[in-house]
Amino acid sequence: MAITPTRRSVLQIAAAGTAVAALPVGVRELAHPPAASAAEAPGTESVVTSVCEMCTVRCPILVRVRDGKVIRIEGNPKEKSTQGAICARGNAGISLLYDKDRVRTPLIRVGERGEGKFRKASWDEAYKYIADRLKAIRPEELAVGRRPSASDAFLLTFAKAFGTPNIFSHESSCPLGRNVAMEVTLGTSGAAIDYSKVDYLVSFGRNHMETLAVPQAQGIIAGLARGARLVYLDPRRTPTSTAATTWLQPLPGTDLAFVLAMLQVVIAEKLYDQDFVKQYTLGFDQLAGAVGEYTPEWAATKTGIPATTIRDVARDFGAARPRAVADFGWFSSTYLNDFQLRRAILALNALVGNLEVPGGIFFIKGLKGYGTELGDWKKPAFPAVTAERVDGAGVPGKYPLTPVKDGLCQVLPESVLTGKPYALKAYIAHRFDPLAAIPDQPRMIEAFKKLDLLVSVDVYMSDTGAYADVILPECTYLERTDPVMEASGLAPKIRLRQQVVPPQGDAKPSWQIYQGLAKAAGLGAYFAYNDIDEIVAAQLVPFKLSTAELAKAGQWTPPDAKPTYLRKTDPRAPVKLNTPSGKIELFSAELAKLGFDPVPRYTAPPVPPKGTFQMIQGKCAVHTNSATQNIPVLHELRPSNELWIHPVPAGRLGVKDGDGVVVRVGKLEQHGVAKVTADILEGTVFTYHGWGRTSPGLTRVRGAGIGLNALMPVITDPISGSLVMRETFVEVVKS
Amino acid sequence: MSTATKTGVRHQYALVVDTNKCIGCEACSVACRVENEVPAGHWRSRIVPPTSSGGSKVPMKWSCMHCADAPCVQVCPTKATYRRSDGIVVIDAARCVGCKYCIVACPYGARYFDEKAGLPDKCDLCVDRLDAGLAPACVQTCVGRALALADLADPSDEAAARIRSGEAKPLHPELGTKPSVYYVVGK
Repeated sequence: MAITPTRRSVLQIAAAGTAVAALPVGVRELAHPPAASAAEAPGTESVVTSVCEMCTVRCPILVRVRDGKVIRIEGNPKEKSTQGAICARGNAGISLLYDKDRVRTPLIRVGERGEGKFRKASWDEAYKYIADRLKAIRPEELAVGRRPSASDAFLLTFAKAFGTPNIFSHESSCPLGRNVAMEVTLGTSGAAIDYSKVDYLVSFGRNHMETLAVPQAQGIIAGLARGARLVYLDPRRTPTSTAATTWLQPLPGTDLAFVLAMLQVVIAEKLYDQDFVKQYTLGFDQLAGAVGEYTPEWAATKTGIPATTIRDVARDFGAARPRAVADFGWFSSTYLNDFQLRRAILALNALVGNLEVPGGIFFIKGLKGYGTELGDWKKPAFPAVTAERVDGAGVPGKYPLTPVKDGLCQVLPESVLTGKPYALKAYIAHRFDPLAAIPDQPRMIEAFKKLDLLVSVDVYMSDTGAYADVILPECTYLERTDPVMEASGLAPKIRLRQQVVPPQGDAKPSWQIYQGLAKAAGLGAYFAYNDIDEIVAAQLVPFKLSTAELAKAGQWTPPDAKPTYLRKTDPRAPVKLNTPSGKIELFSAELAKLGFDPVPRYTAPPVPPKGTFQMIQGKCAVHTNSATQNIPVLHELRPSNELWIHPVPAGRLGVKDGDGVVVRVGKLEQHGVAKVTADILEGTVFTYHGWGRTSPGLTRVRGAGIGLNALMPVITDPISGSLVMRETFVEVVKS
Repeated sequence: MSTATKTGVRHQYALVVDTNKCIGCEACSVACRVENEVPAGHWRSRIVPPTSSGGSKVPMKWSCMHCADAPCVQVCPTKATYRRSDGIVVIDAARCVGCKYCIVACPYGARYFDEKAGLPDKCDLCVDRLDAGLAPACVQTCVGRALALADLADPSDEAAARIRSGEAKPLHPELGTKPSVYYVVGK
């Protein structure tokens, strides 16, 4: 047998030289890493500080480079909230970077929409193709949609320069309801939980250990290790159930009943912080009046959780104040009662006075509060926009509470197909895949087919990309420098994502893509910079900080800024909130005026019709939404999803573990595989989000698993504008 | 038994897995995979997920146990697999003939066969990193800080103390291989 030398034997040979000895012991500062690393001696390693983009959390990282190639990504140990850790996705960045499935050159469609047939094009040709079609439409007929990112500025500048009000984020398919509830109640969605110091945490389906944000998970694990308690509610057993001190299985959509009963107990038994309530909240009496009827006995009939358990949790929660926190969650596009659930959770926190104390909830202490803000590149004033938004975001009588930076990403088909209030004609989807993210996929496809122009800017040919006229290949986070990003917490902080290696193929960063597109569209004046380094330098001017200094550690906090809790030493310290009353609004006059419940009241979720299941979804720890399923290493870890179904209904349906199943809503169906398990309630089925993909460009994951967006209708919460994605019921049959 | 290194420090390595802090996120699996350039389709370390019906109730990191009485060492016809004096079981690729006896002999199923190289492979506790003074990739990246490299030769080592006190226990000690990976189970 021929023996090929392994990497180990190569390393043994090289051990006396540089390869092993040069492993990272510090951080090298590299302003232009590709050029610098190319000049290094072969085998020499360098380390570049940067920021991960495998999910939205953006953990600081150290990237190891050898001979011009990324060989490893580690967490930056200087960041206290992650201690050098990164998750499986962060570790797999290299697998995305070098994936052969990436789009490496601009593509122009040659086949029918959705066929995925494209020809290669030059950037100039692609820009001209798009610009020519944009010239034929009115400004407001262009819509742009994106996952918010550090590169947002370029797409947003292009949209505003073009003059459209129709700017969307993905938020209405994720945390929008929570955000709006926080805006109404606290005056801002910029608040966070001091996880590592919480003594008693109640989580309503916020699956910290699996829908992973490393700093949050690490904080909670550290808390549990010193004796903190975690009460976790989820109809499904998750890694958070395993980590929790108490796991409760409520019937889906009834968390609000649980919280209302906790409020009732905390108020009736006077477990709340009376001084805090008096000084910092508005509407306690109305809240107390509203929740009086919601006893644990009542909630038990809704949630299926014993009244004694609910009462015990409420008492323990009250006893642990102020280091007791009810988690306000993240994903909240669940039920129509979700907005009031978040309001009720925020009220529960207010009652225990955990605002701005260690182990409580704190407001993000951003740069602005310290009188310093990031600079920007110079650009002319944007044209005035007179057209109304197609989605009614921020518009009285429609969705006045929905932030206009987010809007309702689900309205595109309504506008395109009905022409109401007018028809959008062009759509630029930036690292955003509406087909994978938004319910009623068939209607979205119909709308895509009717558009004059659909552009996908992405690293892969996404499902949406397969319908696009043009795909513009954005490079990954390891191949570009982004504008400086704010990463503030208890103290202000900025981070720099810097380019580590040259882009693969002809992929480009956003700062180049939208500059090129703007020039072709006659809007070049808004992008009058030479390169990203010039933008970063302009951003740092107010801090008298050089790019090299920031790049050295990868992050920076103003030297005089310390972690701050406003009420740590003085529990009566003034805290001015950005609500109409300046207080935490347990009662909201604004909601009353709009015709919504001003204090939380119970509305029950719909009950599954006979023969159907409640369908719930979640995220797994090795994938991010629908963005990572095709990445080789992560695909190998979890190549598909399964339908979790309890043994009792599975037995009734004759479905055994591993059997094929059809999941059906009316005439729509998806095919998958059953996982028969007692880890889910009997009347509920579960599957992980992000599968059921259709793009021919996603060669590994295409056709695998169940995609619920193909089955669910669009249901919109009238208060926040958020999607409602848990009120669809499915039939399950053996296939 | 321990080994003298370049710096004169003596080591006896072991790995402690605190399952109370492990969330089964597989960060360690991918860190290992990338660090050691493990070929597609293979893993030196994986997480065995918990189940409600039989099996483990907590996630279990699963990789080479670096046994003191290692069957893989005993069956190797060319002495390619051996245990270093610091406790790490390694494979000398230059001596290995790819007979796969070791793969069959390992009661923990911790080895795989690298078809391209024609050789077996497994966790070596990132010996290159250890020799460079760095923690193994899995330990370094662990989200829950559940993994710790223990040095039983160091009386002040906290992770080693958890082994000595019996708080951290080997998996399937009845197999008699004297593993060097120890698990803390139960709160």
